[in-house]
Amino acid sequence: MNQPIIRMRQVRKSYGDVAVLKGIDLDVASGEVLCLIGPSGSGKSTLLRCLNHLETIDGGYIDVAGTYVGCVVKDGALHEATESQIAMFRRRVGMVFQHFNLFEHLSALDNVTIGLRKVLGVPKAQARERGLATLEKVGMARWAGSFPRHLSGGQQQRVAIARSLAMEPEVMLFDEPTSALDPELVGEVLAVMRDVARGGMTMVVVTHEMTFARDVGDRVAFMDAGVIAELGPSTQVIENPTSLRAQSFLRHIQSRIS
Amino acid sequence: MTMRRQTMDTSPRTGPEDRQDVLDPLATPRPLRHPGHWITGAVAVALGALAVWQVAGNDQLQWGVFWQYLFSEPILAGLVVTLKLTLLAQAIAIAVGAGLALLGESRNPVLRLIVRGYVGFFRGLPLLVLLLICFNAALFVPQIGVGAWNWKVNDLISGFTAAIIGLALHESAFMVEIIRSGFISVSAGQMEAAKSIGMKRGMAMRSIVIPQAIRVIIPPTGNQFISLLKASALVAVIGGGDLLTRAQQIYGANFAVIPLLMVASFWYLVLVSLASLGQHFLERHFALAGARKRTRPEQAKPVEGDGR
Repeated sequence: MNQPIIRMRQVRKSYGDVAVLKGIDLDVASGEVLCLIGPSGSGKSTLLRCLNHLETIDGGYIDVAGTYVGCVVKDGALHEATESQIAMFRRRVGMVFQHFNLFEHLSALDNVTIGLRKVLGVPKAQARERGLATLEKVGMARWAGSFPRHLSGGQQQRVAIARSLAMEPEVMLFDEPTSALDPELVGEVLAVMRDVARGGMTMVVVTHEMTFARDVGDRVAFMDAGVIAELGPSTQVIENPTSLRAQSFLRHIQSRIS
Repeated sequence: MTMRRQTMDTSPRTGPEDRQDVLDPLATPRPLRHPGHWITGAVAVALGALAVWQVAGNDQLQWGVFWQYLFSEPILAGLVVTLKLTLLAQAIAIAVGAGLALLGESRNPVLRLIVRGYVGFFRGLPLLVLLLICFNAALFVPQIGVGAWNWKVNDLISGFTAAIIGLALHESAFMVEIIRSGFISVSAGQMEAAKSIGMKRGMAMRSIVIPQAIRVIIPPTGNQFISLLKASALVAVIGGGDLLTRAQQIYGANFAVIPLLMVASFWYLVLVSLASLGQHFLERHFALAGARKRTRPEQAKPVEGDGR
């Protein structure tokens, strides 16, 4: 296993009295695809959102690509990071949302280039070139001039992936990227994600697509009630889970598919 | 509607075999007649004509006086003042309202409280009261206005300045709420997506949230502008020098009250109609991007986005 690029130690988070994450310890290796599965409410989406500080954690720490998420180290102690420092950190971490969250007022191409231009300061012509190349990667170059609401859900999600990808992040986070899609559109998004994985991207994917988790994921973490109940190579966790809770969850999912 | 009623009426009584003989399946049903519409319409037109004839034929109107003053110098000067008042007050209100709405989004609770207080105060005061307060405050502090020296030519500086400030304060309280509702209309996911590509809140507001909020903000702002245009007539009580003030000054001298009020009404209607037209074009301009040239994805040219 490569060096871990993400390290989570005793990560805790509560909403009021409800503990959502109860001390998560998890490493993700550079170039690895880690899938988070588990019943809804198990904390997998929350954990993912903590990884780029869209949610703040209450205890423990997360180290992503050498940065303590939401913190800076000064004089050997952790200090809360400023908004600029958090924004600088987020440039290096891509995120793909369940509901795409494309910028509705911008064309597909502008969705992809706005980060390059405004955040990274890439000159217009160059950003356009990079944007088109990235749209090409997700098979959306033909729709560069189209606005999000004229695109299907699958096409929107592919543009959203391109928007993340264009920033050339070190890590990409996927929050149930196919859950809001019509069944016949799921395949095209998973195919793009498979390509991204093949390119060596470190990916953390919250998903209900067990076939994808098994075939593309290197490892699968099964979460339940705020803890990681089972962690192992993807084929093993999906096909021969050892914990009773994972067995029952997977049986339930499988019965729904067939 | 008619077709449905027909099938519903006939189907229980006649079997499908019978109907095949009687009815042409491709025929369109004969339209329902609405004789009542003709009667009520005729009555309404008659009543309307009667009212217009009564008013237009009224001797009090003195059409000669109306035409004499419609394009007279003092009335046109008042018209310009009304326009200046409204445009300036609206511009200040938009600037102040936008600033305060942004402060209202701040994570600092003290700032949010101040904004709530400002809105509550200036939205709560009747405009007339506010104008009187501003007018009298200007007597004590003559240099209260923003760049009051711009209008030194005007012999009613204090009235005009007070009018601007009063109208702008009143209007800005409403603009805060309108702009805030525009921000709220943009889903939280847009801000999250902007943050996830490394934008700070300020940049995300500028390049993601505000451009989308604009089209929600424009229509009510247009309505506000039109009501401000009309409300500006209230500055007549502090001698604002506007259209109504001039009309009042003239009929104060020649007692042709109704004709001069009609002159003022005529110009207010012209201004409001122009403003409505402007609002229409603004709304069209800020409609959802791409809404005008609706292209199906298949037909969209490969490289259409110009990276605006």
